Amino acid sequence: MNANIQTLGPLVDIRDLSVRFGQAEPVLHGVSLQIHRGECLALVGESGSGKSVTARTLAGLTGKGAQIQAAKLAFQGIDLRGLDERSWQRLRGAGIGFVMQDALGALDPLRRVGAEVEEPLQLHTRLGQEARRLRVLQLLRDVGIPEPELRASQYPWQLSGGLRQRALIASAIACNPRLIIADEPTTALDATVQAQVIALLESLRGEENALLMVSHDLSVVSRLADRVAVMRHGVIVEQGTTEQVLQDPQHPYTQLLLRAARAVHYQPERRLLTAVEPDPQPEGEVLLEAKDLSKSFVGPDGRKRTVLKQVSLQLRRGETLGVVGESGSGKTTLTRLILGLETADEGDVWVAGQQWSTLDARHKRQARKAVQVVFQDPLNSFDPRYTVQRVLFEALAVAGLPRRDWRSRALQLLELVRLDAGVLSRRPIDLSGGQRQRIAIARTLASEPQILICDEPVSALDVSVQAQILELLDDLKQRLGLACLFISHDLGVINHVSERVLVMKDGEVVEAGSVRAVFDRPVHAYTRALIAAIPTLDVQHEPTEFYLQVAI
Amino acid sequence: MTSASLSNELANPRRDRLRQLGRRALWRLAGGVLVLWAVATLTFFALRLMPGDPVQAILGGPSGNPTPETIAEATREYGLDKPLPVQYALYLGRLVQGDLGVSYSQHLPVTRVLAEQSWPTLELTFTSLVLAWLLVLALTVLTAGRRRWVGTLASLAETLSAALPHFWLGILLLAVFAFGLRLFPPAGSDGWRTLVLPSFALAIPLAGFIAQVTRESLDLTLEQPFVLTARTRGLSDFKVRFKHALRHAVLPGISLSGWAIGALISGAVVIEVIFSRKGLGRQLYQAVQAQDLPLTIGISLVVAAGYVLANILVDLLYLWVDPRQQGNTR
Repeated sequence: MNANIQTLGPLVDIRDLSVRFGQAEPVLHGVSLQIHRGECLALVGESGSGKSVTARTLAGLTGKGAQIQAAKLAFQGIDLRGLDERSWQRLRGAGIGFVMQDALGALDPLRRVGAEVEEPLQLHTRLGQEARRLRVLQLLRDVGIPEPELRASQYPWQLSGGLRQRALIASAIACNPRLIIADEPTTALDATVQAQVIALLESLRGEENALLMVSHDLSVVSRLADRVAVMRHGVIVEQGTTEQVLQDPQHPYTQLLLRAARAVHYQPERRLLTAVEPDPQPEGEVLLEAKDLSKSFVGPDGRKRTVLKQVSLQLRRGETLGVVGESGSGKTTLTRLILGLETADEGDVWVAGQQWSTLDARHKRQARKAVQVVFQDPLNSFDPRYTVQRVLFEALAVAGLPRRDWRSRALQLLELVRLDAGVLSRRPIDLSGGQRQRIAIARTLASEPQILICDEPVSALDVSVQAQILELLDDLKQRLGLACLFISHDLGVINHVSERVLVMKDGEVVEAGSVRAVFDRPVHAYTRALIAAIPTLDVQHEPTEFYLQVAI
Repeated sequence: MTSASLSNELANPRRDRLRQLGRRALWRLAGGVLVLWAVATLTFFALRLMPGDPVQAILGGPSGNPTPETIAEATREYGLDKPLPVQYALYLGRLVQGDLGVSYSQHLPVTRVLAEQSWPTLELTFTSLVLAWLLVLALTVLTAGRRRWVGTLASLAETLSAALPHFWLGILLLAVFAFGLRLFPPAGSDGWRTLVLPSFALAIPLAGFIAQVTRESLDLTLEQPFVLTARTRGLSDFKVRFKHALRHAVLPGISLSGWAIGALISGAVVIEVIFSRKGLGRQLYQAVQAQDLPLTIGISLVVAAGYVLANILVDLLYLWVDPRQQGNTR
C-alpha cells in the first residue's frame, strides 16, 4: 500500500454500525471497519455472528425491515446512510461487486451463463450488444473458464461447481467494481477447486480495488487477507493484521477458533525422512467387507457411466476407515451399496457376516439395522413437525423395543450424545447445528448398530462445533465398540478421526493405507494435490504451483 | 467429466435444444393421434349403447312417424344394417379421409357445421385464457412479496374468484354491464364487444385459480439466492421480478393451463347458452339431445384435438421456459 493512496482515506469506512430487525435484539452492535484500497480484509465468524449482515449492509441489501444506525457508513466518500434506492442500484454491480456462496443457487438456473454475466454490463455501461458479448467472453476467459463461447451459452447447472463459482465471480467483476465482497465464496466447493477459486480472488486484487472476504473458516481466508476482523454475536472482538491475529490472538474467542481450526484441519508438517514403519497388523473382527464392487448407471443421454470400479474395503470393530474424495468420486454410490439400497453390478458386500446378495427384502431390512448413517445436514432428515422425543421414539419403535422402555432408552441415548433430557420436548429446527447432529447420532444408535457410516457429518457445522462432534464420535466408537466408515471431502477431518484411509477419484481407489503413511508419503498425484489444497494457518506458505492448473 | 468430452457433446447448445424440442413435439403428436383414435372409438360405441333407435333420430325424432319403407331405406343408406364391427371399420375409414358424415338433425355435412361453429368457441377460449393470464400476472407481480396485508388481501380475492361458478358470474355480468350500464351487448357473437363479457365470465374464476399457484411460487422464488444476486448487480426490484422471478413463478401455472383449456371448453358450453353465442358447446348440447351421432362424434373429436394440441403446446412452452427439463425428455 503506498502513501498517496492512503491519503485519499479508506475506501469503506464504517463506524459504530448497529442493525436490528423489527423489535428483535440487534444483530450488529457498534461495528467499526475500514477497508483501504488495494487491501483484502477478511471478516471471520461462525454462523449467526453477523458477518453476512455486515457485508449485505454495504450493498444496501440488509433485508426487509432492517433498521440501520451508524455514526458513519461511507463508500468512496459517499454517505450510504441516506442513499435512496435509485442511487443504490447505480452503485451495486458498478462500484460494489458481490460474490455469493453456492453459485448453483446464486445464478438464475433458467438463464444462460452469458446472460447472467452480461447483466451488470447492460445496466451500468453503454456498450452495444456485440461489445457486451465480447466483454462477457473476455471476462469468462479472465476468470479462467476454458471454452468461453460454449460456457456462455450453457446453463449454470450444466457447469461444474468450480466453473459456476468462476462465472459468478465474472458477473461480479464485470464493471470493474472498486470493492468486491465475497460472502463464503468457496464453502460449497471441493478442496482442490476451493484452492483455485481462492487463487483467482487473489489475482483480482489491484492497487485501486479492495476485497472483503466473509468466511466462517479462518484458515481459508488467512491465505488471502492482509487484515482479519473476527466477529461474534454481532460484535467485532478482534481486528488486526493476519499475522498478528493468527500468531498472537488477543481475544479468548479468537484463540478458541484457532485452536478448533488447528484441531480439525490437518496441518501438513515438513518432516525429515524417517524410516518407514510397517503398518500395524489390523486386529479385531471384520464387521464390514466389500469386495471388487463395481457399479454403472445409464445416464440421461443413454450412455453408460461407470461410477464405481473394483472397490474393496474391510472395516473392523473399533476402527475408523476414512474415505476421501471430491464430488463425483463415487462416495455416495459406495454408501448406497454398503447399505444394500443398490445392487452392485459386480462384487458383493458382507455386513456383520451376512452377504447382501443372498438376502431377500425382509432380511435386508433386518440386516440394515446393523448399519446406520449420519448425514451431513440432519435438519433435512428430520420431520420438522416432530419433537426430539418423537424422533427418538420412532427410531426405537423401528428397532423393535417395547413401548414401556422407550423413555428410559431415549434418555440413555441422549446421555450418550451428551445432551440433557430438556431437549426431548423441542423440535430439531429450534436446536443449534451441533445439537441437531447429536440428535441425529442418537437416533442412529437407537437400533444398536455395529457399523456407523458418517457421510460428511461435520461439513455443515461451525469449526468449533466440528471438533466437539468428532470427539463425540470417537468416544462412542470406543464405548460401544462400533466400526466407523467416515466419508468426507475434508482431509483434515479424515486425519483427525481415522486410522486408515481410502482416497477415491472417479470411482476408483487411487490410494489406501494407514493415515500416517498416506498423509506423510502420498504416492498418487491426486492425493498430493488434495493435501496441498488443505488451507493452512501458517502465515508463511510456499506458493503452490498447481493452483494455476486449468480449472476443473 | 472432462471438458473435452463435454465440448463434443454440447458443441452448440442452442441448436441442440431446438432439435430436442422438435423431437419432443413429434413424440407428443404421435401420442395425440392415439388419443384421438381412442376418443373416436369411445364416442362411437358409447352412442350405440344409448337407448333409442338412431334410424328414428335420422328420420325426425319421436314425432317423425315414418313408414317401414323409409326406415328400411334409411337403415341401408346410413349402413346401419351391417354388423357393428363392419360399421366401426367403415366409420374409421371415412374418418381418416376427413369425412365425418352428415348430421342427422341438421342434414348438413358435419365438417361444415364444425367449420362454422369452431371459430367462435376457439375465439372465446383463447381470449379467456389470455385474459386470465393477464389478470394473474398483474395481480401476482404487483402484490407478491409485499407487505403482509397486501398479499393477504390479494390471495383472498383469488380464492373468492376461483370459487365463483361460471353461470352465476355470467348472469351477474349480464345484469350489471349489459342490462344495467348498457356497456356491452347481452347476446350475439359478432365483433369484439360481444366477446368481452363471456370472456370475463370464463377468465375470472380461472385467473383466481392460476394466481393462487403463481403467487405461492413467486413468493418462494423471491427468496432464492439468485434473486439477491440479481439485486447485487444493481437490478431494480421491479426488473428482478420480471427478468428473473417471473419465469420461475409461471411454471406451475403453465402446467395448469393445459388442464385449464379443458375446463374452459366445458365452461364454454354454459357460457354460450347464457350469452346466446354460436359455438361448439351449444351445438354439442343440442346434438346429444337429438341423438345426432355424426355431429356428436365430430364435435368430440374437434374438442379432443384442441385439447391434445393445447397440451402439446403447453408442454413445449414449459420446456422452453425451463431448460432443466430437457435432460429428462426423450
